[in-house]
Amino acid sequence: MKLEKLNPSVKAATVLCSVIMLSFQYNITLNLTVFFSCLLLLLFFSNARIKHIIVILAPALLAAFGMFMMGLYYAKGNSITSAELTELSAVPYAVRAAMSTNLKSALQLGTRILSYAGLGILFALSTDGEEFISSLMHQCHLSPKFAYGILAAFHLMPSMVREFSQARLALRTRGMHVGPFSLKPVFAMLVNSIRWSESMAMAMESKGFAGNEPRTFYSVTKVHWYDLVFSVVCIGSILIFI
Amino acid sequence: MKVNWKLKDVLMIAIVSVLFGVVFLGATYTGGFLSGLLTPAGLTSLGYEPFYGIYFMAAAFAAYVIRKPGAGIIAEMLAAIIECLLGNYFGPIIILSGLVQGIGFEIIIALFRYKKYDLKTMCLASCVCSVVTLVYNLFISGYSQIAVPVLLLMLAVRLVSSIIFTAVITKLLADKLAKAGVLNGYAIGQNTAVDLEA
Repeated sequence: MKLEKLNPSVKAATVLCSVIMLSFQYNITLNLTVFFSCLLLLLFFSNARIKHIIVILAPALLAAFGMFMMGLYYAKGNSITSAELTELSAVPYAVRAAMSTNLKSALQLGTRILSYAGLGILFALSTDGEEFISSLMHQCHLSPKFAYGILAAFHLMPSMVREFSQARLALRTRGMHVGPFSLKPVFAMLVNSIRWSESMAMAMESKGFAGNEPRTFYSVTKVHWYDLVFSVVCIGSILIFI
Repeated sequence: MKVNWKLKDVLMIAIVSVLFGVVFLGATYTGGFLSGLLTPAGLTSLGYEPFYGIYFMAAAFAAYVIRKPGAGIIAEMLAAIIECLLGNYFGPIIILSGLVQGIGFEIIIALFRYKKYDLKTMCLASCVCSVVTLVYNLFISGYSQIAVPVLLLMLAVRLVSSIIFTAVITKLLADKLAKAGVLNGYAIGQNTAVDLEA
């Protein structure tokens, strides 16, 4: 049984429910348990490669560390007050006291990001994008117009990156300065992408794509009993912990 | 409130929101770098705030160009699903954030009954969106644990960022596009056409 086999919509809903439950909790052990359970699940029950997990987790770890530092310095109520700082003799004690009381908030904030990231990558690394969209169509009643629109835009992305650097280059060859926030290449790209969207819509419609009429599908995602078991087990174990 | 969306509209919004993502990807890297610098001072999250307005651009552009109820919300949701497909480490949580951002932006536009789209309205909508997303952060990111002055500083930076990116730059780009005639098939293009005749 692999995580990839689960229905993407059910998986996404489970992750979202877990996150909403965790957002009302300030439980460090719970957060860490969720994070490590997600990692273990990914390592043993999915095809995700360790290298991939590390690459996607690195920015998450940085964000968690950042939140930890922020909590350590600026958690509510326990911040170092100026009154405490003016009493010179009390400084080291005041700083230490603030740090020690803030440590808990800091850990709460930092581990919270970790638990979210754990749940997030559990989904991201075990889900195929097209299957997710297809499942949104069949389980969440997303209209095929939106589903195929999303897929079209998604697959256009590499060409957009290429076109954007070409637009910048074109301006530079004409001797114009192009900074990171210049609007000229953005404007050129906007014109391009609106034209693309029009011709793509025309192309899709001329191939017989009609968003509102019933259609057949090459693959139809279904909800199985094990999807519900996964969902119940995940949400249930968090509920028990609370 | 049910609006009939044409395939052309859906594709335009999806592609434009991906475009904003691609174009301003550099900004998020700058944000990451800035947060890194601010981490020793404990102000990590502040590093991303100057670029926060970029996240609302899809909603603002869609609402401004299409001028239909739900345009902003749908645009943010499309952008969020695409970001989810790209493999963001927050996964489906992004979709929830997208929904909040879209609703946050559309509150003001809806209050004006989808009729007013001047710079003032866009600025107001961006500001409300900033406040709504910060309230969302209070719960979801646990910002309620952070001291109020720091939160106010973050809100101030986010407000300025959203006015610059979401209101001013987005409106500027859309107006220029309408003038160039690229948006003639949309509500905004029809409005300018009327203006020219008058």
